[in-house]
Amino acid sequence: MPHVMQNDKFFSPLSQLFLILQVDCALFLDILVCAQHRSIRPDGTNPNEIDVKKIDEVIRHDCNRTVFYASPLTQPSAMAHAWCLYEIMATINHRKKCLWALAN
Amino acid sequence: MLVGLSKLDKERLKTLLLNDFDSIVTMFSSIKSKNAQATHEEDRVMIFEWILRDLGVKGFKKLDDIVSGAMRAWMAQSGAKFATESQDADLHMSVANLFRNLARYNEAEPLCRRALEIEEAAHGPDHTKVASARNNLASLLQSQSKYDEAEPLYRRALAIMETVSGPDSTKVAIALNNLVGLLQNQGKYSEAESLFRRVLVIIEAAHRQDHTEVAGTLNNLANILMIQRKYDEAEPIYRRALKIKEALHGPDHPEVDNTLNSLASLLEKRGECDEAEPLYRRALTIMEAAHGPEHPDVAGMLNNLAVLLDNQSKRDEAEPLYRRALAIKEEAHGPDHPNVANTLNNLASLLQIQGKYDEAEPLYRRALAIMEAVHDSNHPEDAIMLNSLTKLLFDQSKYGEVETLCRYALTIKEELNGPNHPNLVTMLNKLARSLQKQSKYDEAESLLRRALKIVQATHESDHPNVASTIGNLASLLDDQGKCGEAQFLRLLLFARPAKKKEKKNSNFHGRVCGNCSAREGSACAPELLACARCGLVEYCSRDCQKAHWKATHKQHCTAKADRAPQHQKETSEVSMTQKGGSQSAKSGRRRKK
Repeated sequence: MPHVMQNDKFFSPLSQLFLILQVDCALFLDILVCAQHRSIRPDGTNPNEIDVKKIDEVIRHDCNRTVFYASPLTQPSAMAHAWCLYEIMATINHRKKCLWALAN
Repeated sequence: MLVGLSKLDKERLKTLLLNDFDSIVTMFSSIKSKNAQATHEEDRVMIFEWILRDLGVKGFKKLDDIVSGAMRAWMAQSGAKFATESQDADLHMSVANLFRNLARYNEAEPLCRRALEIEEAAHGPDHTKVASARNNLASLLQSQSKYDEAEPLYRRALAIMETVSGPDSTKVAIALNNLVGLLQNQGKYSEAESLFRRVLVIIEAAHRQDHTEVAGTLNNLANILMIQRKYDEAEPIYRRALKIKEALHGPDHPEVDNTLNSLASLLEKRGECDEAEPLYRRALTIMEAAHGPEHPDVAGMLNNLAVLLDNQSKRDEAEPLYRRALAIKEEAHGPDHPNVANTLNNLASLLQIQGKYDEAEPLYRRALAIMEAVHDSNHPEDAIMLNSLTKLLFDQSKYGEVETLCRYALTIKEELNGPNHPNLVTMLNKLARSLQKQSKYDEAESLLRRALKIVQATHESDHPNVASTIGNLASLLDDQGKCGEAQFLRLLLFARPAKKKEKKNSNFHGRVCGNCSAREGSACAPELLACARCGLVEYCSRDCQKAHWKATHKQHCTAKADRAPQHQKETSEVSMTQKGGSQSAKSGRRRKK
């Protein structure tokens, strides 16, 4: 299970992210990435509905902390993304650590 | 919530902050989750539903507050670090203001002081920038109730502005306004009034007679007259302010509702309820049209109108207004906000008078629970709520519970006022009566004798508290079979009318100095003035106010705007032109005497 929940895009070099996270190395598991851009199915159901529930569960049960990649510095796009804000809410709700990784 | 930056980005952020701190802070702290987007509209709708489900109807605001609060705290921390490395007075002030907005005054103060040092070193002691820095530091100290430290700073800033801009400059009017705000906090109403009159002269000379600044200053002057109970002087000034506002903005403009509310409040205080009622109703209509029927300010106005109707025994009209005000407040502030406690208490009181005890009791209990959660320790507001609840329980013959609550309320009052203050008398009587009903005569007698000793030391013999305490003690002695002594006490009561006649012209109404207990109207306390901050305690002199502040009041004093009094008005008129602009605190509340 993931140790850190990542959120949104990070535009600086990966080495900078490691410095912010204060880790020497990290393993990124793309298979756990949530695809948030799938369209509505032909039958009218929303494929992302289950993902919203799962994000909440993952943050609650399995994550040590959530990292929000907020770029650019002067206008972090995560703050305007509904998905990101939902993840912030879940992190706060479950009293997990929350780190804003700001980058230009 | 933590914020991390790479070393490279730290330098970038530092540059950004040094160049334009305020706009960066605004950007980080103005999160509007309600406006957030998603690639697919269906996702956005679905996520918003989850946010509302998890955080409640105020979910978006809660989320915005949490995130922006964390970001502002981090910005302040970073800004403070960068400020120490710079000689930029503006940056120091901006960071100080950020800390101040976060109520972290101890971190704001050294930054303000440093900004003043920088300005003095750069421009000398008499520059307008120094005056501005002094003013900012004074304002910060004022918000921490450090009035004695703030006063010389405001006065020096005023002197600088008078020298630099001339005594009749509008900049001097701004400096005067700032000083007046402090004087009001200190209870120095007479000087505040005199300075407001000077401000009015300056503003009238600088603008047309019907200018909005003139109306604002008139309002401020009328407010200070109201505080001093100079109702007859305040009325024409309010009416002139109202006339200017109506001419400038039209009779139905939101600018008008403040003054209407104040004027209505003044008329109500003078007992002219028939004239006050249409003014409240007009203010309410304007407010509803301007802000919508669910706005929190509308709730305040509904509450004021309901109190007026309630006091005129028009309870059938008052009750739905209280209920509507309560619903709006619960929706706007959440069910546990002090503003909600205020209206809960008022509604419970109305229901109690109507004999609807079962409905009133849970409302009182809820109001008390809210206020106890708000206050860290024993607090006068808690005692007021307890007083309401004990009265209700007594009416329902729940004497054991009354005893418990009275003991708690008495502890609060003793801590606030000391063991021999007249404020204790009512609670001593109540506790004694609850004990009497439970046949605990010995303790009841001891409490009533203590109450009698206090009232006889602090009140004239024709005061109602003296009569009621003697009456209660006589009743208790009867229950104990001590009929002789009871009879003697009743004879004392019979002797009262002659005494009352002698004192017919006394101007003593039972109010005493909160420190020395001197009676209002006596030689050493010709007039009592209330603490400007809480309005709950009154003093005969500045020295008494200072002494009581240091002794106990400092720990218990709560600003009117932060508390929810019993039977309380919600005044919309606390507008004060300060620091160059008009402010109005629409949700401030005023205790109804």
